[in-house]
Amino acid sequence: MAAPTADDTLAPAKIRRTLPTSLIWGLVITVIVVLAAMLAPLIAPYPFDKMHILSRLKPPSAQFWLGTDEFGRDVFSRMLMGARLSLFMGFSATALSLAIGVPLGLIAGYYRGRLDEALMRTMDVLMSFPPILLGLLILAVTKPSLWKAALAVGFVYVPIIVRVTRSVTLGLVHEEFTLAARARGEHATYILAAEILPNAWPPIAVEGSLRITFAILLGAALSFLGVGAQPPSSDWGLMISEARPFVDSAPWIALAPGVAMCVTVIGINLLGDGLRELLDPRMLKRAAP
Amino acid sequence: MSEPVLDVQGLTISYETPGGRIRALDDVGFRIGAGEALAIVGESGSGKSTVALAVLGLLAAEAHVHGGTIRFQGRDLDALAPNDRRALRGNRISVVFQDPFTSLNPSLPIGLQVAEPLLHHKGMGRDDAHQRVLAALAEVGLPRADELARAYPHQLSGGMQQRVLIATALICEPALVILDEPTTALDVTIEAQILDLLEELRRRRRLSILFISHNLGVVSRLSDAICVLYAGKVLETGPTREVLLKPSHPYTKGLLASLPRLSAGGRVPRLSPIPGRFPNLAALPTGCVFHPRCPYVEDRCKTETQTLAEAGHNLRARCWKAESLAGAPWPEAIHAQSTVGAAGERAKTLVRIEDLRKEFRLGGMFAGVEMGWTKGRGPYVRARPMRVKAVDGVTLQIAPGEVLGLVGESGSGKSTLGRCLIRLLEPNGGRIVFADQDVTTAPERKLRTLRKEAQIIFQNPDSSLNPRKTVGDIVGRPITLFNAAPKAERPRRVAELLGKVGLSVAYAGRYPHQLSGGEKQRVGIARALATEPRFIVCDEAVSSLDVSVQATILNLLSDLRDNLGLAYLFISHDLSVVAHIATRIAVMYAGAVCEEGPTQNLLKPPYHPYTEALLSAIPLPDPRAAARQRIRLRGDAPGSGSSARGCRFAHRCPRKLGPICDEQAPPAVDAAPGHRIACHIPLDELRKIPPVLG
Repeated sequence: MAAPTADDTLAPAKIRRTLPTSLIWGLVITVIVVLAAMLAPLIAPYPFDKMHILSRLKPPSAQFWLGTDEFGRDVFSRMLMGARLSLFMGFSATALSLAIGVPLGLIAGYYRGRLDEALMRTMDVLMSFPPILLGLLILAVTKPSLWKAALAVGFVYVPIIVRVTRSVTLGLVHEEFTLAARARGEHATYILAAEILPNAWPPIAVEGSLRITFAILLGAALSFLGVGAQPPSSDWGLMISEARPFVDSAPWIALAPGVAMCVTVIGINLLGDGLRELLDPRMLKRAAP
Repeated sequence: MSEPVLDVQGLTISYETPGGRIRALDDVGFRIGAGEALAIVGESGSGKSTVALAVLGLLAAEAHVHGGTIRFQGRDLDALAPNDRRALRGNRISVVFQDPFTSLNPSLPIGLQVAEPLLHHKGMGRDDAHQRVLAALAEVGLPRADELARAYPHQLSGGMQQRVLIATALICEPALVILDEPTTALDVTIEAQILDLLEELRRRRRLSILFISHNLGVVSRLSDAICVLYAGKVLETGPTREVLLKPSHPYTKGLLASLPRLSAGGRVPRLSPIPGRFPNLAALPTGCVFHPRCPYVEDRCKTETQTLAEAGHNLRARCWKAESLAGAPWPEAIHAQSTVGAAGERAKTLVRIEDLRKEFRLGGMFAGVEMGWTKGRGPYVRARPMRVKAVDGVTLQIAPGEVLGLVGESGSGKSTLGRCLIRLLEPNGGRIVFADQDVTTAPERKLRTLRKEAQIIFQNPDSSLNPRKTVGDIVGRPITLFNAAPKAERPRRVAELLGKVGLSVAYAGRYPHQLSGGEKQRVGIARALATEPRFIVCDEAVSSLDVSVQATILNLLSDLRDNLGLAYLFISHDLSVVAHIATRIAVMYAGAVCEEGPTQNLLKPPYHPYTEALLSAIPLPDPRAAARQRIRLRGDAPGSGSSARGCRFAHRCPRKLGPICDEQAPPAVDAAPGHRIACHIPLDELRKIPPVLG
């Protein structure tokens, strides 16, 4: 038996990491939006569907902070409640596309061959449709509702997740640690879940976080077109759609959900960017050799 | 003495890194006179590339120059304006980098890339430049320069690309050429060609060369003087002959002792590596930088910073004991006792492959699909994908406890063979028998014995360990998988395995990025041992390690074989490494084995002409060997021109007989029991070949 020759005194290397600025700002904004959505019923001054018949289309005032819409509903309250729907849309759609896309991408990248070819060509076909069109196509044949819209949006983004996952997997399959796992006869499930996925995760997580914002926007667009959330719900897209006739006379009705959406999207995007910076392997500086 | 072309004095450079400030170079000084070649030798992390970048003025933004002067033909380079400095680069000072595959722009024709320095620095017109380019390409030994000038880099082999880069570096007739590991990425026969070329150019043009390399053998071919760099400090400097034959600094002695040496007498039983590990550049040891690893260390070494001083034989060494150590040999490593190797055991066969074949299909699903129209028969579609025969009819046997070395250049199919053997790749034909069990086509669930008893160690320490797992998890997983130890026992078993490869238990909690290259390789070995295998494929297991680390890993592998009775298939491109560890060697060329035999038989005639060429191409770190007869191969890239029917080596063979070599597959002749040579040349003729090794 060889005597231990290597140096044991070396303390585990310290990894110096400073949080990227974009991550901090993204976190702050996202936490505020999420808190607002969670606590909406407590913060909102009125129920979102309460109509104040006498104060329709009122501009922002002390009583109605962001004014009222055509039915005299408080825009601020509706905007807060809308955050719930938008975040639900964003997160559930992304979760769905990850749940379908990641396993498919892993399988395609690991097994290659005909399976990969068939899968990826299907994804190419799906990707060749503009997302909004594909969403409309899925929703047009059924009775519209928010969760169906979330389902559709999630489905629309599956191909992108598959592609990202597959491309990372392709590189990792040939890494020697994967070969070592195969050489000791590991089951494919173990290799995919324990050897490949943990290393493939960073780019997938970044892509996923960016997908959330796209899902929010696409969900809002579908609601705007009338195939997503249905009245009287306070989805931001729907709110903008309903405010359209009054854009000239009462711009606050459209502006409030628009700005809210903008802030949310920027926040989550910053978070995604920060995450990318943080998880980039090049940022994982090792201590000097 | 005339003014030196390059005069570097007291160069001190540090890098800012997240881990702290790293001193890359510390008081480095050397001179290169007109027509002289100086080699800077060092392991990775020694700072040798920083020297090249500093001379070129291409240091990264994180680098700080703390002091020192670089004078080129009497001009202080640091005092020059950036534009004046740029005017020197590629013109008066030029460089050839390590990797020819990334040094050429893939989207520009060769001619234009070679001409660029002329157009830029000399203001030459395109037509004039073109004539010069043709002459330059011819000078570096490239045929059909006219056609070549119009070709793109991907159409050229690695050796040709490196020749093109040398032509580019020389086209402005520079006063100084910097060669940064110019042959490291090349196969050994190609390396020999390039070294010949550089040697010839140097003589003819009286070039001044700054040669940077980790390979003492290559250095001994090309340089007048050597400068040994360690952790940013020059530890020893002097004429090549003296440094290699009478080294005075302990580090130089250790480096030379770590090298596996080829000799016709067979293998040296054990290498004597430098103990310990390369120091952390952010926290260098006090006193002499080498003292923690030095076998001659005394208290004075630990506190006193050493200076370069005369050490006799024209040498200067950074060691106060240098003169007294002048004749002292590097202490030999303790011999481990061999416990296996009984003849009875050897007679059995552990692994047998018969006529193994593996083809690769190139391109995707639709690659090679042809569509057309045949008159009278309508349209047709047929698939004719390109196929490459990576392994083409190989038969080998490995006995328990035996080390079979498999040597070949890149593309010879040696790694493919190794991977087929443990069913990481599916062979297309032939038979694999492991422990009397045919495993050629057995489904995965029936391979449990093979998976447990046959393991693999990989080349690249950086990719062979999962970066997201701790060493303990990596080594522990095979134990869990095969249920090799009860749950409570597992941590102890992991510790035991780590101990076997010379690592302490403390390593179990670390992640791969916290380990050095040699330590990662040890973990890779521990993981392979965890299933208690009887057979391990070592796929270039020491190729990417520094010389001193390579020696320790080779010793470790030998010890493990002796203690555990393991058999190895030891795959490497480096014949001297293989000859050191293997008891039997098979030489592979273009997918087939051209010679196979016991190590001591293989190293002397009779041998296959390819084996002879390989032996002759290996650069030895011995200036006295320079005079030995050299056999050089024409062309490169096996496969490209090899005939389908005849001997695969025929088109490059310096001893080709005639048409028979192209037309008939060579017969395998038994030169001695267990020694087969596949060649048309009669055995008696082969016996008359003068030996390459003295």
